[in-house]
Amino acid sequence: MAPLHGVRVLDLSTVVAGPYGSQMLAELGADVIRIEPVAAAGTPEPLAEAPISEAEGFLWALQKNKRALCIDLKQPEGLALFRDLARKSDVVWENFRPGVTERLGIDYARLREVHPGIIVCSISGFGAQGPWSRVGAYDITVQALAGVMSITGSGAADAEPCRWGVPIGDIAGAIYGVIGVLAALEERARTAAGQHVDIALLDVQLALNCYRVPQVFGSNMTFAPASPRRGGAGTVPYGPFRCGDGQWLSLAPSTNFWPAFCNVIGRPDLLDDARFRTLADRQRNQAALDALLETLMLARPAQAWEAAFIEARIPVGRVLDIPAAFAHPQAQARGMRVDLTNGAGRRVPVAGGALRFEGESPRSQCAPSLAGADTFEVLTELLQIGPQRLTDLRARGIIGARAS
Amino acid sequence: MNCRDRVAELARRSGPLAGVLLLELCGDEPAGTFGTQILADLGATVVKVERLPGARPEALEPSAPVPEALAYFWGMNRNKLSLAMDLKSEGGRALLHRLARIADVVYDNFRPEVMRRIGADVDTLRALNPRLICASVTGFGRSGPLAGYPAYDATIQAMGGGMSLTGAAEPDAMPVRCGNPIGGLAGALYAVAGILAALARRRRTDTGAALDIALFDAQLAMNAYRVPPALGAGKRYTPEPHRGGSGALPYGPFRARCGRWFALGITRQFWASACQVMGKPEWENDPRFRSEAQRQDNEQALNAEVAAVIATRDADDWQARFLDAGIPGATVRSIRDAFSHPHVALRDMLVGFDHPLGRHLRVAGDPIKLSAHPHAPFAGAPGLGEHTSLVLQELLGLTIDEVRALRAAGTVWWPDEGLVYARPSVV
Repeated sequence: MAPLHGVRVLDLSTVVAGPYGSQMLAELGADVIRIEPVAAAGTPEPLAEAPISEAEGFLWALQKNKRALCIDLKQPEGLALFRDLARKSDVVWENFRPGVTERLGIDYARLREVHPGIIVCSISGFGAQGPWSRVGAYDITVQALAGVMSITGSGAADAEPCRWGVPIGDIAGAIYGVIGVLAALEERARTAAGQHVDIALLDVQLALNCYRVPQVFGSNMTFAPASPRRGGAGTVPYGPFRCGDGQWLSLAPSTNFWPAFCNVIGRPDLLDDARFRTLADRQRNQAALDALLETLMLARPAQAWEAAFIEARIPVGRVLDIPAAFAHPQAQARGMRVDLTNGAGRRVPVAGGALRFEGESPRSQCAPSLAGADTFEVLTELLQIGPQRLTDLRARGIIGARAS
Repeated sequence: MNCRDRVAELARRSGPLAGVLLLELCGDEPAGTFGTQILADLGATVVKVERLPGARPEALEPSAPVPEALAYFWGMNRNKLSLAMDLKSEGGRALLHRLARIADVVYDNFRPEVMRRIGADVDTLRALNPRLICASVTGFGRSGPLAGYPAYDATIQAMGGGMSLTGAAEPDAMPVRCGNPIGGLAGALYAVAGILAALARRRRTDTGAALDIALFDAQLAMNAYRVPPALGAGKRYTPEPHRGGSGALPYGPFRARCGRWFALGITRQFWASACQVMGKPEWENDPRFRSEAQRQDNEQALNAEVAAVIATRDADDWQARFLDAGIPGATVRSIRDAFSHPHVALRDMLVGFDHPLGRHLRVAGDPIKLSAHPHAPFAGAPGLGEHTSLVLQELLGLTIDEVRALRAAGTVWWPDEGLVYARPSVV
C-alpha cells in the first residue's frame, strides 16, 4: 500500500514551491486535488504532435499524479463547495501571498471551524508577519538574502555571485512543507487536532546554512564569495577540473582517499611532498595544488579519468548536463527517467521520484490532468453532487470543467 | 509508563514527533546528521550512536574561539542524545540489536558493506523488528552499477545536472557548484519526508519500510521542470545567471554603487512597477522591452541598461525602494549579514546557546513553524557519550551496575567527568 494512501490534500498552490511539494505527497500515494480558477478549464490542450513547450514542461513536471478541479472561490457557493471538500480532506496546501486566504475565507482559523483536524500548510517567501511578509519572493531573491549566493561562484577576484541553477530556494521550501505536514499528521494521530504549518522560503534557506552558522558566529569564519575548489568540511582539492577533452571532472579526495588518489594520478611522490602531506598542508598550499592538478588532469579525457577513479573506488563525478545525467547507467538502473502518456496520446519524459522503498514496486505515475479535467468526478465522488446540479454549477461559472 | 512515554521523556525537545525513537548511525556528513537533526527538532528522540574515543580526548581551551570542526558539529547535532559504544564488539552489537527492537527508525548514511559489518544491515534489523523503518542514505543507492560507490557533495552536484546550469554565461566557464552542500542536504530532506510517510503508513498497516535514498536520485528529481523540455524536446540548458527558470528577466545580480550586488527577479507582473522604481518609466513602452519575449530578444541591451541604473545607487537604497514598491529584489548577503534580516528575529531563525564549555554559540533555527508548538529553546549538541548511561538504563532497563560493567569492558563509554566534545572524527 502506498505510504500516504487515504490522505487527501486540497492543493491551491501555483508556480514551483507549492506544486513540487504537493506532487511529492501525490507520489507517496496521497489523493491530491489541484484547485484552479474556473477560467483555467478553458485552456486549450496542446496538440499531440506539438513540441513540448516550457509551460507544458512545468505542467508535466510538477502536476503529475494529481486530480484537477476548477472552482470560483470568490463566489459564496464556490466557497461553500471548497469548505465541504475541506471537511472530507486532511490537508489544505497553499502558497498565496500572506493575507489572501483570510480574504477568501479559507485561512486556518476559518477552516478549523469546519474541520478541527485539518492541517493547513502555507508556503510563502517570508511568513505571515513582519515588514517583508507581503513582498513576493523568487528563487533568486531568497538565494540572495539567505547567504548562499555569496558562497557560490567562480572564485575569481571580484566575480559576480551566482545562484544555484536548480531553484533550491523553492524546492527546499517545498520539501520542508511536506515534512511539516507529515509531522502534523503524526501528531494528529495522537491528539485528533490539526494545525497550521507556516513555511517561509527565507527561513528554509537560512536553515540550510546549518554548519556554517556556528562557524560564522562562533569561530569567526568568513566564507570567500565563492570557494569552488574547497569542500564544506575543508577538503582540498575539491571541485571541477578540466580534462583533456574539454569536459569537467569534479574531484573530492577527502583525507582518507588522498593516498589512493595520488596513486591514480600517477603522483605517489605527492604523499611525501611537505606541501601536501596533511589536509592542513593542502589547504595552506591550495593554489599550488590546484595549479598542479589543472595541468595534470589535461593529460587524459574525462571519461578515462573517471573510469580510473571508479576502479579505485575514489569518488569523482563528471559534470553532466540534464540529458547526460538521465542517460547515465546509474540513473537508468534506478528508473529516474519516466515516460508518461496522457489520454490524448501525448508522451512526455519526466523525472522519477527520489523516494524509493526497497522491496516495493514503484508506484505507477499518472500524466497530469489538464485544468478542470476531474471536476465532475471529484464533486460526485466526495460530495455526491448529481449530474444536474453539476451542469447548473458549471453554467453559472461556480465550477469549471473540461468537456470530456 | 509504556515504552512510547519513556522514549518521549528522553527527548530533549517537545514536538509533533514525541515518542518516536530514532537511532542515528551516521558519519559527519549533512546527508546523515542534518536529516536526523530535523527529526530531533520535531521532537523525536534521536540517539546518535557514536564510536568510542581513540586516545583520551583533549579538553578544549575555553577561552579560544570555537574550533571550526566543533562549530560544524554543533550546526547539525542539537537536540540529540549521544550514546558511545563499540559496534565492532559482540556486546556493542547486542546492545544495538536490543535498541533496534524498540526503535521506530534507524537512519544511516554508511555504505551497505559497512552496515553489514556492524550487523546493522536492513535484513538483520527488520528481522529483529518488522515494524522498523530503516532509512539508508547513500550516494547512489543500493541498486545499479554504482551501488556502494562513495560520493561527496562535489561529485553528486556534478553528476546530477545542477552544475551544468550554474556559473558564468561565457562559453567554457568553470561550472560552479552550490556553495551549500545541496547534494547531501537534499538527500537528507528526502529521507526525512520518506521516514514520516512510512510512519503514517505504519499507523494503518503496522509494517515497517526500507527506504533506499540516493543523493544522485535526489539531484535528478530536483531538475523537475527542466526535464520534459530537455529530454522530450531537445532543449539545451546552460547557465543563465541573468534569467529566471521560467524565462523572466531582468533577473540576477547587478552591481550597486557601493560595490555590493543587488539581485533582481522581475517577472512579467512586476515589469511596469520595476520601471518606475528604477526611474525609467519609459522602458515600459520601449519596443525593445515591452513584453517578456521582447526583453528576452534584447537581453544584452536590457542588462546593460539595468546595470547602468543599478550602479547609480547603493544596494541598501535599492533594497528600500524595491521593498516599498512590493517588488522582489534583494541585496546579496553574506551568511553573517543574512541573519540580520528583520524576519530572522521575528521567526527565531538564529538561536543562541550557552555552550557547556563556557562560550556562546549560535545556530540556525527550525524553519518548520507549527501553530501547536510555539518556539521553545533548543538543547545543545550532546557531548560524546553524554547520554550513554541514561539511554541504556531508561530504554533497555539496565541497572547502573550493568552499565558500569559494560563501560569497564570497553563496550560503551562516557567521560569520567564533565563533557567531551572531541570526537574521533570531529575534532
